[in-house]
Amino acid sequence: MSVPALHADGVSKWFDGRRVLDAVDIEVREGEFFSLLGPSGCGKTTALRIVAGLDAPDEGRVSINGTDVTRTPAHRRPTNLVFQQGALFPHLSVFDNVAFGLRTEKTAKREIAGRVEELLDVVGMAEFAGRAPGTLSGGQRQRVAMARALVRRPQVLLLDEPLSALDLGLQLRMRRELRALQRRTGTAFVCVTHNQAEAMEISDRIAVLNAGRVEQTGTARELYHTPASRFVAEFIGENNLFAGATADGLTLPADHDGLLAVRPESFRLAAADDAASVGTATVRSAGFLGPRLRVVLETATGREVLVDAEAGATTAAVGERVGLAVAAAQVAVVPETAVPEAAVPEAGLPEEGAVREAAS
Amino acid sequence: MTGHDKAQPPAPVAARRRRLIAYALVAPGTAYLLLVFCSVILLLFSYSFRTERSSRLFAPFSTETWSQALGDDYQLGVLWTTLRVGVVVTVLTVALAYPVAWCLYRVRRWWVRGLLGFVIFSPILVSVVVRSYGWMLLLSPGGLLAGPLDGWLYHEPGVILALVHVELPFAVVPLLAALRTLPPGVLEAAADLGASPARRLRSVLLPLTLPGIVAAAQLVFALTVSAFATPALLGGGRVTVLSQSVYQNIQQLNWPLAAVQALLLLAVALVVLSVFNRLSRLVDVRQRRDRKGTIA
Repeated sequence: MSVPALHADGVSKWFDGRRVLDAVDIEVREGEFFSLLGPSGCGKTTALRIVAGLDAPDEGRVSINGTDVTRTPAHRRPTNLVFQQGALFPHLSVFDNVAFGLRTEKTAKREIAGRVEELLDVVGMAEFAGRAPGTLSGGQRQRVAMARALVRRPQVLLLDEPLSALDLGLQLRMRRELRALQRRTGTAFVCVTHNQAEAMEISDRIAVLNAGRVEQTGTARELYHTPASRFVAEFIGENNLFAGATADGLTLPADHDGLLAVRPESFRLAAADDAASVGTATVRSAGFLGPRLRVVLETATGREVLVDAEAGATTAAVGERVGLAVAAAQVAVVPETAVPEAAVPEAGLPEEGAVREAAS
Repeated sequence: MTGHDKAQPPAPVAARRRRLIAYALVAPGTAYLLLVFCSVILLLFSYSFRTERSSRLFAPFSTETWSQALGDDYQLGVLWTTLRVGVVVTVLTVALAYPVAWCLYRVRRWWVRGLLGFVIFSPILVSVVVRSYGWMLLLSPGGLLAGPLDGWLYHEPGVILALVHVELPFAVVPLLAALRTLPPGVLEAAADLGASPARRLRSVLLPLTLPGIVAAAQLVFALTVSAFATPALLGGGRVTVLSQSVYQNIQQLNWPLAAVQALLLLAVALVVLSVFNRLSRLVDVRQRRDRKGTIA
């Protein structure tokens, strides 16, 4: 494999005696859209600031395209950061904000004008060049912040919650624009977000951070279908977690007695006496979500199970006893503790665990 | 200040009541300031057009005192010294106060901040006279600083040294307030965009804290040109500024000349303060914005 665009190698950071990053390893490939995903306080922003050079790691190294930049101050790094609230200079016009990063490196005047106009055009802000940042909307400010960071042609573009300050409709549109922008520039993007839907939609790969540690790195599909830890299984999308193959009155088709996960859409509602069902449960509520019907069931042991059924083909009356069916391939084995990414697919299946037939 | 609620105008009666309360609250302070200030200015103005004859006010209107104050080399020298000391002290004080304010702004630990604040602001708790005597002790023969700063006492450098010390806390306050209004992240953004520390200071920090710098300069200048005790004690009669000259003339019962010099002092302060205002408006782009939000 070629040299990674960004490599954080065993990065740790303490704040006031508290470890906020614990030996974080991240490898971002050239031209990749990479997201650091995690709940607030998981250390993702600190990780980004360390890459940008705004914070120094206590342990570990950071290299960009093979060059060690751990000791390089922020203003000499080939990275640029899009700050959470934009952090535009209020005393400079939109044009001067974008030109700022070129003027610091003594670019020729004519080239500055050309590159600034080009980038303002790319983010659709060309007509606002003379405006003061204070007169722009949140979305417009965020675009200017992106242009300002991209105009320097960074080797890695860092984005700190770039969309979180925007309202939902704009967020959805900006996701696509962000992805398009990344494809167009071919720059490696590293985006910090707490929004798993956003990360899944725009990223090539995602690293899930929890309490300062990388729980799993992979594509959205990998994270969704083969979560490497309980945290990932619960944080990415919705999941029904079971302590073992025979738990909560169900008998799941799995050759494993540890933690198992079944997505709500993987369960199928069947007749209570259906031979293929893995157990029965009582319908507690059913909500129409358009294409899907969200059914909340309760098993004999009082365990709540979420099922997403196709809305057109399903009828589920509250109080009705139904059967639950699930294919063996849809039952994910979840390692109890976080394990390195490479070890996930080979997670050992215990020999002593007898294959259990789906109960009638 | 009238208590109006923009979003939803209150009922008329309530509005009238609120306005009355607002006036009642504003009235005493305003009346006090206006009565005392205006009456004194008027009195000074009328005095300045009279002359002094054998220690008595000579009534008929005359511009003789004005021409004496503006035509005499000694009197002009006093005016010039006042201006010079004012400008030098202002520049030095603001330049010294800026890093101090920056330090106070950046210190994270609450007890360090408290301690630093106390050290910087405690001089205000001690009388100016006491502090000036302190400087005299330090600068007089045998004093701690008499060696390296030989000859500063009773000369302009000594006066400036003591005045900078006296005014320093007054410059730190507006500078600190300006630093606290810095939008989050702009300095880090500048660093991220390749700006060296010097460049960050020049292109981001100074322009954004300019209102605070102007406020600090205005405050220090106004306090310096009207300072009396410090120049009187450390100047030892050899460095005379307007406020001392006013005092001396009153002592000699030359009220007209004292009035002229008091008005000159006021004029100097007003002119310099308005120049500061003009300058800051020229430099501060945010105030040059037109209605469409375009920066000229």
